[in-house]
Amino acid sequence: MRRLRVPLIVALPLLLGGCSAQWFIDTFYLNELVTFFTAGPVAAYQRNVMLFTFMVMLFVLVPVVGFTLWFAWHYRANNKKNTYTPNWHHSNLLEAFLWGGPIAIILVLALVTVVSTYDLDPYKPIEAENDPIRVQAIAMDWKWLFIYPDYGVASVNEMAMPVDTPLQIDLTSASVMNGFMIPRLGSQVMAMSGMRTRLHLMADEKGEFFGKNYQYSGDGFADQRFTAESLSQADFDGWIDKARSSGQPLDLSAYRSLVEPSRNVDPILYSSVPDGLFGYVMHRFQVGDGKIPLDAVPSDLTADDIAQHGHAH
Amino acid sequence: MFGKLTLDAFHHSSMIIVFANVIMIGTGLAVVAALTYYRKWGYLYREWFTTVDHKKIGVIYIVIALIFLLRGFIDAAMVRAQQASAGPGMDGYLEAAHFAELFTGHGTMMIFFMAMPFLVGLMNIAIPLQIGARDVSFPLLNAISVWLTAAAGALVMISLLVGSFSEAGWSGYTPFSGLAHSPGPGVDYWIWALQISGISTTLTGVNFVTTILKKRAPGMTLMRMPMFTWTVLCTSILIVVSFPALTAALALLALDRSVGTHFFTSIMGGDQMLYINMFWLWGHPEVYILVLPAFGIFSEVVTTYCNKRLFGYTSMVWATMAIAFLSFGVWVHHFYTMGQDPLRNSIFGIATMVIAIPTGVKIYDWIWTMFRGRIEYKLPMLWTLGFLITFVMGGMSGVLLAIPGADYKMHNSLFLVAHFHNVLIPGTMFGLLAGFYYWFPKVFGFRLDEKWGRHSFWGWLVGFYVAFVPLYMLGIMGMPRRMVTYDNPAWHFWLVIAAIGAIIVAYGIFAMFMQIYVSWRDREKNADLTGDPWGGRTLEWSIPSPPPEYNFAVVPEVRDRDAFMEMKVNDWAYQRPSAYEDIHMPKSTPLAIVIAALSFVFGFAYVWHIWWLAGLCVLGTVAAVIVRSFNDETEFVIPAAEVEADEDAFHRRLQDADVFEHMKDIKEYGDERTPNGEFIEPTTRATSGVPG
Repeated sequence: MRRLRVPLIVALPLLLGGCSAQWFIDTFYLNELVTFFTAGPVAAYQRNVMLFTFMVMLFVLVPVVGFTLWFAWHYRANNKKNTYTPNWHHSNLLEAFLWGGPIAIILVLALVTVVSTYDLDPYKPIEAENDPIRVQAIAMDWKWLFIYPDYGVASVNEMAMPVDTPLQIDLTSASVMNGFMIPRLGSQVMAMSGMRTRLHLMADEKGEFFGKNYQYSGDGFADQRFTAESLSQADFDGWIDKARSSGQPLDLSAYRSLVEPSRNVDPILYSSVPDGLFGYVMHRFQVGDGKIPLDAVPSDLTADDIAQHGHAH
Repeated sequence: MFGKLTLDAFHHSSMIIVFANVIMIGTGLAVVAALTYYRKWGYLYREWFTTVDHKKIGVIYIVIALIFLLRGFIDAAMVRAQQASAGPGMDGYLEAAHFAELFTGHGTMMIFFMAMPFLVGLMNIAIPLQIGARDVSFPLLNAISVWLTAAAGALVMISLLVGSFSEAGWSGYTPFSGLAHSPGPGVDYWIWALQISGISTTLTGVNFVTTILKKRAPGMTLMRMPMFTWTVLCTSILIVVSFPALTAALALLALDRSVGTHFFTSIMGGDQMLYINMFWLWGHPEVYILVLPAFGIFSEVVTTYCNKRLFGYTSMVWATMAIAFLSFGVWVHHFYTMGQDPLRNSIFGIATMVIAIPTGVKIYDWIWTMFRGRIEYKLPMLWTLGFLITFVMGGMSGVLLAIPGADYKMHNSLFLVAHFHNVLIPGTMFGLLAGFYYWFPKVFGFRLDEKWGRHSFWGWLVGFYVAFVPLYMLGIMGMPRRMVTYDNPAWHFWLVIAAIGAIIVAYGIFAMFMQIYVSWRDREKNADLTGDPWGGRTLEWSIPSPPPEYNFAVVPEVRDRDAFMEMKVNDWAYQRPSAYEDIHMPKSTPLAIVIAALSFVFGFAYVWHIWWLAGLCVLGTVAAVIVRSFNDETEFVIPAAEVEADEDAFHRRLQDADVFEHMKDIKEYGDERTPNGEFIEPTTRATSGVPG
């Protein structure tokens, strides 16, 4: 009985807690493991890749830990009953397994790598019933500007999307390198000045998702987050209308004050946005010192023109 | 006159930094006062500042590493404390800029001023002894290396007092580290600290490639070299090939910042991605520079404490070479998210995973070395077991991150931070500590205390899990790295646990320093009189502890991989020649500290744009080298009689310790027996080069 006491003391709370799975979830915040609780096909695919890889890697983990503990215990020096072969140091058969095992595992994972990397290529459009919506995201110190060129509106630190509708997000930066990610939807892609990168995402459930810059960018980095709202089509149209009727256009002066460093910026909706603003933000880095006035943008300069250069890097 | 340096540079708004400066300056003054009081300056100058002896240089490296282990850990603890005290409705105690200095300083110091010097210190101590050499190929260059590292470390230290350190992360990504976004002196301090220590490391690489290829004892063919020597050879080659990429990247960044060029800026055609490519073209091999020698240490430890030959030596050698080669083909995996096409990402993903194959083989080889061994649980063996079990987790998360599709999701999250700590702490840190305990008696002549060592081990091991499993959880929860504040209660819960882990690690570090103190106090009791405290298998254990300046009275002859074990088994260990010969050794010289001091002043002057002073330092360095080149008497002679007297004393100690009686047991011990006591014919001996 004496031996049993200690394990019991350890096990008791676990047993009690085990009565309610909810207790575990609440205590350890397991419902916050957003990588597993996905809200879109990209993130779901990534979760599956990770879980599959983890399972395959167990074929490495279990033998390594198992053999290590077993041999470490069994061949301890004071266990004199063991076979002791101080000069044994080679076995072709064993070494064939030692090389062959890892090679086999890596072959499987290499296949997973190629297939998943092509499938998850951020530049690859997502196939869905609904037509994709274009979003242009510009990273600034320290907030995100989202432009909806199809609707002529823009927003700061808040973006909306209709559910089950693919997003084609073009990214650039008006400052240093930023990493755009909405964890529950999937991939992260860098936003870099003078260049355009692209990311396709889709939400297959409604909700409010946390989004952030993941690449350290200075003092306001920690606050540089935004809300991504996945809405029904009707609610999304309502959101667009709300922006259009906000009465606050993103004009030259609004842009100039917005691009100045600022922290903890509350969401803003803009009723209109100049054509080609995204291309202009890239262009100003490409041609010179970044001080060209906004009205100098050629009206025919589109993001795709400049993207030719941006993507080539 | 003083460039950009004004009194403002001494003004610190944070009381924490003021306090840190008081501690730093106070400690410095106390050390200076103690040295003066005990009249140790002359001794220090003669025996340490001017020495070219590889063993003493190794000790200096490790002292530097231990100082920066403390500083780097304090930074880590402050980061943990900030993130644990921030959270929903709480801002913690640090400003964003100070927090950024801390995570930048932590990474920079732990890589460049803790892990690298520790590693190079162990290389310095063990390599010449393992290959039966009397010193490295270029002893003076070696001294210049160590003092350059000290100079670079001093630059990091002085940034605490004058100005501030970089806030751009240890990798200094452009364009953030450019002048437009980081106008202060911090990035310049970071550049010159890395540049000077990088030059030091490059010189070390050159020195050790040459030493290992040219100075091995007769009979030690490449395939008879101890595993540690092999891994250091690979690491030295990696250093020589990869560090120029870092040197070039930092030089161009320095030009961007001080001359106004546009290599890496956002504008005027600068390419920010070029810097990131160049940095990781060095940075990824650097990971293997750090971990390969640790692998070598584990190989030495496993064979010694299992009392057994290394299983799969040939596999190990090829695996090491394969890792070294492949490490140059994987750098893109640090930035899969920068918009490359899937073909490029797939290629680099697979290349990354392929490294897991030789790494896995090495792990299995250690495990199978334990098979049918007699495992003694001395401290280094504990570190090795801790490594084996913990490292495999880090390898797993590494393979996960190697898949671009998965990395798109985990990049820049705390999952990544957990991963690289999970490979570097068990892989490198545990290896360095194992090597530290393993070779300590060789250098100082007394063993380290076991009890405090065990406390240290469990502190590190338990602390590691408590500190880093939460970071894996947080990464899966989507938390980015480097956040000074946040408002998610789930993150707060796990960050508090991680902070508790840091406290446990702190106990491990405290126990290590206690161990050093207690062992020094009881050094008579722990003395190693025979030079072979562990029943060693390689040549360093065949000479006294501490070794004489010339290491080997007679250059040994090597007939097997485990050269010294073969001597013991075949009864020709400790054989004495009919006559000893005079030994020529290099003389001490102050040149190294002169060059290092000038480099330090140069770096400081460049940071503050004091151009006349920087120019003077360059001229001074050139002049010092020219003056030295006229010195023809760089060697001195240790007469044969003195060598013979040393050896007489050593052999009296061996007699007193009954070593020669014990040798018969070793011979017996070396036979292979089944549990029933039946003798097994040692069939494998013929192939391993032991003469019949």
